[in-house]
Formats: sequence, C-alpha cells, structure tokens
Amino acid sequence: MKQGFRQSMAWLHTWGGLVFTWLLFAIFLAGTLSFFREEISLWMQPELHRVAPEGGDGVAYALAELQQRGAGAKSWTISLPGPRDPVVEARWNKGKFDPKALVTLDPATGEVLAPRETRGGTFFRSFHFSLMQGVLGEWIVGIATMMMLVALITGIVIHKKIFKDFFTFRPEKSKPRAWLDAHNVTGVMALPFHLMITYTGLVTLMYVYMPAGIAVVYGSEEKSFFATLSSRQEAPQPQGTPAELTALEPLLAQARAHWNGAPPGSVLISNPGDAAVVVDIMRRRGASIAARIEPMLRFDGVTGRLLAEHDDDFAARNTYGVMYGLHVAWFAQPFLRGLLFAMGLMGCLMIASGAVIWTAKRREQHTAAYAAPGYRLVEALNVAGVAGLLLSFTVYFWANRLLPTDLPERIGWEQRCLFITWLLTLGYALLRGNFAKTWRELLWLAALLLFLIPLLNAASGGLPLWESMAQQRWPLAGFDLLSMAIASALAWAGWSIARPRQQRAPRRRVARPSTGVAVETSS
Amino acid sequence: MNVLAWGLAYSGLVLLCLAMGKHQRQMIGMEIAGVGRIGIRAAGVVLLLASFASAVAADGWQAGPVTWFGLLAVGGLLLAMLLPHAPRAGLKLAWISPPAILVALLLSG
Repeated sequence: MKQGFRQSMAWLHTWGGLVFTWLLFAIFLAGTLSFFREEISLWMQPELHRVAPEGGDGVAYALAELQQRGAGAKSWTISLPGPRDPVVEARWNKGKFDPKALVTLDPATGEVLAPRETRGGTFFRSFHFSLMQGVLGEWIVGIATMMMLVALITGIVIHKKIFKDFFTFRPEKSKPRAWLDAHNVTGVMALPFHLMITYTGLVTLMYVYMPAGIAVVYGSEEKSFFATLSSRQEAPQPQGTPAELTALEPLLAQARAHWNGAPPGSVLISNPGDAAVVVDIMRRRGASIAARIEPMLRFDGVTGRLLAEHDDDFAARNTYGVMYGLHVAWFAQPFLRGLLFAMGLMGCLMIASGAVIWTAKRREQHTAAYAAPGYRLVEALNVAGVAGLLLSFTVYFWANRLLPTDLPERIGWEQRCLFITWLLTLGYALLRGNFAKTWRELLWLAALLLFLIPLLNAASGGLPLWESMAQQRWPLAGFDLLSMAIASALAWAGWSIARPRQQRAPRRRVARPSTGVAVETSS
Repeated sequence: MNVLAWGLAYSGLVLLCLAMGKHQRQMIGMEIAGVGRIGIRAAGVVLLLASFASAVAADGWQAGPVTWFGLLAVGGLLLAMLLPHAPRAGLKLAWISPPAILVALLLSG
C-alpha cells in the first residue's frame, strides 16, 4: 500500500461518503420519521382526529359491519384500536386483495368514518427501504446501507481524538472546522445507535441481499421460509355447513390472560359463517422487543375452544425478531420513541454535515479552482439533497391537507407533489448560482411551511393544537409541536449558514499531519 | 424513573467532561490535576452506571439499555452544545438536575 492505512481509510470515508451522502440523508430522514409512522398517519387523516381514544375495542361494531359488507368472504380481519391508533378497522377478503374492502369505525360509537385516501406515514417507511422502486430500490438502499457501515467504521478509524474531542464543539472556528466538530459530535455521541440501526437495517432485508441460504434450505419453496418466520397459519378448508360465530370477547380476554396482560392487536376470522370457522388472535406488536414474530392463538370459531398456541420461539427466529425489532422499535414507549427520533435526527445531521465539510474544505483550499463544474454540482446536490428534501417532505404534509379529498389517484398526487418539489429545488440550486443564498432560501421556506403546520391542521379539519393539548392527545399535539420545533431549528440554520463570518487574518496553512483530524488529505 | 436516568446520565457526562483539562478551563476557569481528576472521572463513571441501573429499573432489561444509549446521546449532544455558549450553565444543570428530578418524583408520588 502506497499510503498509510489511516490515509486510505480517510480516502474511502471521504469519497465513498460523498457518493452516497444525499441518498443516505434521504434514507435516514425518512427512516427517522418512520419512528412516528402511526402518529403521522393519524395526523394525515383529520377525519379521525375527533375519535376519542380508549373508547373500547369496537369489536361488536366491526363484526356487525363485516356480517353486512363481508358476507361470503374467505376471511375477515379486525385491527383493534391501540394507544397510537384510536380507530378500529375491519377488512374482508373475497379471494383477491382489494384495498377498498375496508371500513374504519369509531370504537366507542360504531360510527363509520371516511378518512381521506393517503399513504400517511407509511410513505416514509416505504421510501426508507425501497425508495418506492420495489426490489430494485431495496438493492439500492442495501448498497447505500453497506456504504453507511463502511463510512461509520472508517470514520472511527480516522477520528484520531475520539475521546479527547468527545465533547468538543467549536462553532466559532473556521467553517470546515466547526462542521467537522458537528459531524464528530453527532456521529460519536450516537455511535451505538448509528451502528445498530445500520446493521439491523441490513438484517431486516437479508432475505433480499443474501438469498443463498434460503435457496439451499427451502429451494423454490421460498414461501415456506416466510411462513416459518411468521406465526400465521393456513386456514382449514370450509365444510359448506353454515354455523354461528362464537362470542369474541371471551376469546380476547383469554388471549390477554395467556400473554400476561399484553393486549391483542388483531383478529383474523377464517371461513366466517362456515362450520370450519377459526379465529386467530395476534398479540399487539410492541409487547416484546422482538418484532415480526408476534405470538398467535387459534380458537375454534364455533365452540370457542383453544386449538393451538403459536408462541414458540426458536433461536434463529428470535434473533431475527430482535434485530428487526430494534430497527423498527415497535416496543418503544413514547419517551424512548422520542429518544430514538432524536438519535435519528443526529444521524441526519451527521450525514448532512459530512456533505457540507466536503465543500467547505475545498472552498477554503482551492478558492480559484472552486468554480469548476464538479464543485458546483456537489454544492447544488448538497442544497437540494438536504434543504430541498426537508422542503419536499413538508410539501407532502401540505399536499395531504390541500388536495381535494375526491381527487382521483389522490395517494399518487400527494407523493408526486413531494417528488416534483424535490426536482424543482435541484433545478433551482443548479441555476441560482449563489449557493449560500439558496441554502438560506430553501431552509427558510421549509421552516415557514413547517411552522405553519399547526395552523394548516386547524384550518383543514384537524384537531387544533390547543384542543389536542387540552385533551392530552399527545400523538396529535406532538406532531404540531415537533413541526414548530424543527421549523425553529431550520430557521436558525438558515440564518447561521449564510451569515458572513468575521474575517480572520488569512493564515498560512502549514502541513501539520499529526494534529489535524484526518478526514481528508488528498483532493 | 427514566427522567431520573436522564439526569444521572447528563451529570455523569458532565463529570467525565470535567475530568479533561481543556474543559476544566472552560467550565471552572482552572485546571485540576492528578488525583482530583481521577476522582472526578470515577464519580462520572459511577453516575453513568447509576443511570444505567435507573433506566433498566424503569424500562426493563429489554428496552432499558436502548433508553440508556439514547440518554447518553441526547445528554452528550446537549452538553457539547452548551460548552461553547454557556459552559457554567451546563455545569449548574448537572448539579441541579438529579436532586431536582428526585424531589419532583417524590412529590408526584
């Protein structure tokens, strides 16, 4: 090796990081928002805001609707209300998947609700792991995640003063220096989180990235691999003789007692109306850190007898469940969820500051050559990738409230508004010329729109902030409050990013290889 | 309880920080050397361990450690941001927060 080990690692960190930085920022920000997926979805359906939480489980109402609308279906599913989702949902399956075969009810009154069509917070989750591009997107995200892992590990290697500079943040220093401090502080303080979330992120999609093991054991029967992973069971064949469904409440109570008080989350009724009816009750996710392998109890739907318990954990499934669970954090109570969100934002800051360091360093070093198109492209991608994305995500929330509810293909249009905004910011950043001003304009616009979110919410049918706070509806109030808090941070960032700094006397930079933190030496 | 864990984590981090020369100058305007420095560091480690215990007591063995890492990250970020702008306030917060949280917890029953 011509260069030293640390220099090679610095090269890899700099250039590998640069190539993936904008994609990683988008993945990280969308993933961070996904911690609040259910809260975001609820906020994006103002028709549901006035459903009071803890209004019972609504199973009787759901069953009445299913008997009417879902007669002759192969199966019925009831999603029970929970602390993060106040409504009860009833679905029926008449043979092929139909997204319209769904009714949403107020569990306390049985009133049929008509929430607007939206993908809600689930958009961020899908975007996070597939960029809305299916398997191709999953591969792109996988490669970027691998690069993230490489960047984290090379980052540790090249950070010479990881303990000495643990608390060091010097915003008064020159720009590259201050950004490097910010990069280090957000990276090092939340390093356990960054490593955990990156690694478990790869594991959640391991069956996409490393299918060989599954192919060897299961061959072409890939389906049976997923069946082993999940606690869902095949339904028995219908007998053709009609039969009455047993009362569900005692079964739900029995399930809850079986799981030591952990509540059920959903009920699947297979062969409703037939003598071969079975009732599967799944535990609400989040009772354990392990996710995706929720225990299930199967009851005879006529007699109510317990037929089978599926809560056997075997080591491999449990390992996967814990890794998956750590990543999606369904187990997290509100306080911990907030901490995870904060650490996710620290990750976003780490990535964004890394991107900014690359340009700030070169702007300082090559003042004359800095007008080259390559630099301009990176600057423009930085602005659009960070400030533009923040603005686009904000526009998504606005589109959710402003697009007419009867618009055909409404879900598609909400997302199109986001992506069109993102493209426009990129075009603007490329054409505007003055990058510092572009940063400021986009950040301020995002801050303004985000700060007005509570007003938008109140004006477009949502539960206003003062009422949600008075009623202690924290999932809703939290959305409004967090929007304003993040808006304030963005406004401050926009103000400080383009602030002219006191010009210090130009220092001749002497090469001091042992003292500077080696992020980048060659260029 | 996990609020107490937060106070302990923050104070522990402040003590670890205070065991470093350049941050001593920032926070108390002088340097402590030798045994004093080791004592401060040891006290910091003890508080961090107490914070871990408190987080586990509050959230259990499954979620508690995750909470603890989160508290360290957020507490550390807060301290790093306070240091250049209001180092003494950062120190005061460390003295005040654990007892204040404890009193609040006792009062709220």
